[in-house]
Amino acid sequence: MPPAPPPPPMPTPDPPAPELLRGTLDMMILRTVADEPRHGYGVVRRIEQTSGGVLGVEEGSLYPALHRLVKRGLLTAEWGTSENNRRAKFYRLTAAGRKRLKRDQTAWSAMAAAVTRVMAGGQGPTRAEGVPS
Amino acid sequence: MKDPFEKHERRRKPERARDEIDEEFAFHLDASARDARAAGLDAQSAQAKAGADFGDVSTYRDACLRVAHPWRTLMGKKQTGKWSLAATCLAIGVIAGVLIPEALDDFRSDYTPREWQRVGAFEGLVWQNDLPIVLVDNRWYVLDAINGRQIESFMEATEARFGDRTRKRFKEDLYEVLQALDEPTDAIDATLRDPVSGAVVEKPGLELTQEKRNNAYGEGWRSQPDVPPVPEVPMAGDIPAYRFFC
Repeated sequence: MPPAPPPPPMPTPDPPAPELLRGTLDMMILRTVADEPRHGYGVVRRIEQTSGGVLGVEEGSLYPALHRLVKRGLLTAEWGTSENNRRAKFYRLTAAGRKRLKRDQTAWSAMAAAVTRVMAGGQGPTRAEGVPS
Repeated sequence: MKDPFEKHERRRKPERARDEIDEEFAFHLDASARDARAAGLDAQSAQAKAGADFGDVSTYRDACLRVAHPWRTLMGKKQTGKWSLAATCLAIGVIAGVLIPEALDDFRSDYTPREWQRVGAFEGLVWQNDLPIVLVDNRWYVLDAINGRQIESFMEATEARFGDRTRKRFKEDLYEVLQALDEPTDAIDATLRDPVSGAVVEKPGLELTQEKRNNAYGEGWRSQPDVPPVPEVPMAGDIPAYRFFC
């Protein structure tokens, strides 16, 4: 009996388009520090944890985004002490950041619902029928 | 109370910014390695995993420095640029020392400080849903950011300074607002968004002029035939989704 052919390789998902991550990463960072101030490592772990491990970016790429958000006045950064008594920089949402997060969350919900409707072949409620806008 | 010299100090000491970034990264790498060890890896493997997960430290350090000190980072890489700048400053200094005093004597008699401050960057400005809609090159845009600072943050700082006169000051006395916020007053980098398509348009170096300010103040654009009517800006939930991808 001839040996069984090797199993086909598992398909690897295409990496997400960087265009998708660029804007959404800022939004996810704002959401992650909305509950409490976090250091960069805490933000990475929180995003990974809440996304069920689906969203994982190269961790260093988070820092230019954090610094950019501070410069834009949407976050503040302050040195503090970590849970392990190490000096760490903590990021906190500003009032302007909270407003921006609210706007982005609303728009994101509307877009996610719209994409879901498209992928469902046009089934599901439209905005006029109750999809959050 | 905010230290008034903090901003200046940060500008003066980019090397301190570099040290802070390195310290921040070191904390991240240590915490990551510690978690990897807790998950069962030996010390060496844990450190290697932390490094691999983080990515190239120098790339991200440079990216952070570019956010904080764009022009200094550039000069650090191109030393010739530094000397060119020094030579240009010297030349300007010489010209200024010889030519300007004479011109200044003629100018002083007509100089009215208040007039010089009545300048603006936009040819028209109206408010919708708490957002400034601005007229630039005969097109209406939502103003998203000034000099890289989100408009929410900008307006908040303006409100802290001017209270219930915020919108009026912003429309009529942008020079004063920029001055109060320690921003450059001769030109601004505006990030604009098309209210219909959502496309983001960058307008760097948008000059502040008296003509623009007067046009916005007197709403002269209303009688200009080539200016389109102010569009209805959608509420937040209707903002085109691809804003996130820009």
